[in-house]
Amino acid sequence: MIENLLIGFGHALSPYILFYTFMGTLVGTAVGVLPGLAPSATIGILLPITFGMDPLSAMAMLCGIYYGAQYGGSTTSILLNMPGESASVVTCLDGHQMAKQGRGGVALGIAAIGSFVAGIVGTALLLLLGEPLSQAALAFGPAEYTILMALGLSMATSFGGRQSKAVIMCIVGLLMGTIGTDSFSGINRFTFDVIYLEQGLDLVPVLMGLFAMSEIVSEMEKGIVKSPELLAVSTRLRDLMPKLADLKQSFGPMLRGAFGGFLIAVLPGIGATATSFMSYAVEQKLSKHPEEFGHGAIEGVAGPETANNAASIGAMVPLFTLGIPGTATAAILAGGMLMYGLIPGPLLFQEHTEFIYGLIATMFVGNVLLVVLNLPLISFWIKMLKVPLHILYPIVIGIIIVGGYSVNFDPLDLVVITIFGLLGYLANKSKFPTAPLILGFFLGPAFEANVRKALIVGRGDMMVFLQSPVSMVLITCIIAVLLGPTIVGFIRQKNTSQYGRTG
Amino acid sequence: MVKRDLAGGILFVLLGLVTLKASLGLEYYSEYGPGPGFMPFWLSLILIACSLIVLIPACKSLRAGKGNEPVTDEELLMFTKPLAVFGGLGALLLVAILLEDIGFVISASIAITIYVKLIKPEFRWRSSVALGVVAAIMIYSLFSLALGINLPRGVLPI
Repeated sequence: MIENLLIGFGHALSPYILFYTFMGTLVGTAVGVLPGLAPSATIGILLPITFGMDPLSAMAMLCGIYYGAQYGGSTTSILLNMPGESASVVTCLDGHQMAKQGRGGVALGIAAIGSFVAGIVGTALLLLLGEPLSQAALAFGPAEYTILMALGLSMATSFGGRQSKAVIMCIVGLLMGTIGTDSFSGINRFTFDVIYLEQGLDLVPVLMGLFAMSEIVSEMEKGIVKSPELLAVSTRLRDLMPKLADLKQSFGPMLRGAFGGFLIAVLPGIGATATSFMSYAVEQKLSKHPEEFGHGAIEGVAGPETANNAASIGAMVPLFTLGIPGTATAAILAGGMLMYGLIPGPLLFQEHTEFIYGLIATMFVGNVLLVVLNLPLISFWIKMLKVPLHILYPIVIGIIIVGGYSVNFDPLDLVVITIFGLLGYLANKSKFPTAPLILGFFLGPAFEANVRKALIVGRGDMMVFLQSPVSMVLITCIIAVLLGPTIVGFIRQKNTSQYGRTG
Repeated sequence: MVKRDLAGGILFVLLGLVTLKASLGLEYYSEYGPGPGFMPFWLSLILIACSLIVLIPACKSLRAGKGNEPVTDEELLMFTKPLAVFGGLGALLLVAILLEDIGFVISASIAITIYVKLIKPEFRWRSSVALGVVAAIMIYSLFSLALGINLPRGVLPI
């Protein structure tokens, strides 16, 4: 492993790949700083543009955007009380209060240090867990894989909003995955004699529509937000450096955030946003002075900012080891890997050792770059907030046209983006979550193939899914995940009616 | 929200019925194992069942007269400016139609100009068009000339 990692670093430090890692972290920070542009949408837009590149530099760049956005997101939360992306919402609570009290620089500094700790701990854990997990996954047959995918999908439906709606979206995604020529029998399904559909719908235009277009038109509708008031903050490096007492206070939250955030995010379906909220809740519970939370407690910045960054790396674990993306962003990265001819899953560690260890090494490098980018350049990022929307969005649409067209060099893909842009808009406004749809759509073909293979092996007997102990454990988990929230909700309802609402 | 749940529920039940009907036309079980109709059949059934879980409570609240409460969450207000939503989507559709005939630079210029005007109507036409053309040429140079992505030239010689 050490040897592989050294080779990985050899790749990661070559100027070509270093350049793309740098570009990724730069774009990621920018996206994180700018409100209204989510990292998932950005990666989707830029994905087709990277097809000409070699897989490692492309993935190094795309991953850099993902974890870079978690760094950048904290800046606007702290200075403007306006989260740049959803995982930084909770940072507003205490970060902005700190800025109001004149400790904005310290808040920014601690967020950057926390993100760095998370990046290093997360990448190290990914390195340690990757190979053993992929070894275990190699022993899985189609039946176990089916159940594992079902578990991943059901977990993806259990966070945020009503679960029944999320399940609907997931099933629609799975159904969308059946469009096209069936690989087992060669029969066209749901193509309605449209030649374009015979290849199946492409992932990239669908997610560009669902995540990017829907977001842009929705922001355009809201209109121009008045230029927000910037809190004056000293961005000299000296003022960004937290005092020793601050560091001491943040040490525990950072450690818990880094390990907790990573391990929770390994479970499919729990992304950076959920872990940042969990971390905040935990720190408030553990704190000796919980009343300070919400009034500028440094733990309320250190914990969540570490957790969300660790989570963005933890989310890669199920993707790299099992081939099951846990979040929409991971699904997009998986879609990218497929296009470079790399199949995400346990074989990555066996057959593409250089790629996977190279990628992990770029994550180490990228996190170091991000601290360098973030601490001294904060004043630059703040200036970027002043780019007006009527310049930003038109340019983004120009890039969407390039990206959408260059997937297959077919203008019909732009039509697909438009259609899914409208559907995504309607779904967001009606609280039908779009992430489970993308996960279902991505996993659909593999899920169906495994179900059918398992049933061929089992000669049509459904009991094939229950035969191994692993399957039984996983099925128990699925039941817990699908019914758990309903039961918890029921208990909570009972409690609130008994004791009245608190807080 | 109740009305949207109702509309969504009905839509997804209908979608489920359509896919169910279509999957019945496919072979459910072939000689060796499940056929092409196996998965769509079960997925359609689950889809219909879940849609009913959303639809039935929505129907009940509607009957109880809860359907007309205004949406209070600003994030969820829908079609407050239909021009921005449909104009934005329409511009992309326009590009899809024009792209291969008149080329990337002209069609992207048009789309970018439309976007500038949609976001900031008081921005002058002349400046909007200038912004559109400059941005389109810059994007074209970056992606087509520097990164080597083949974008349609159309009627222009570049």
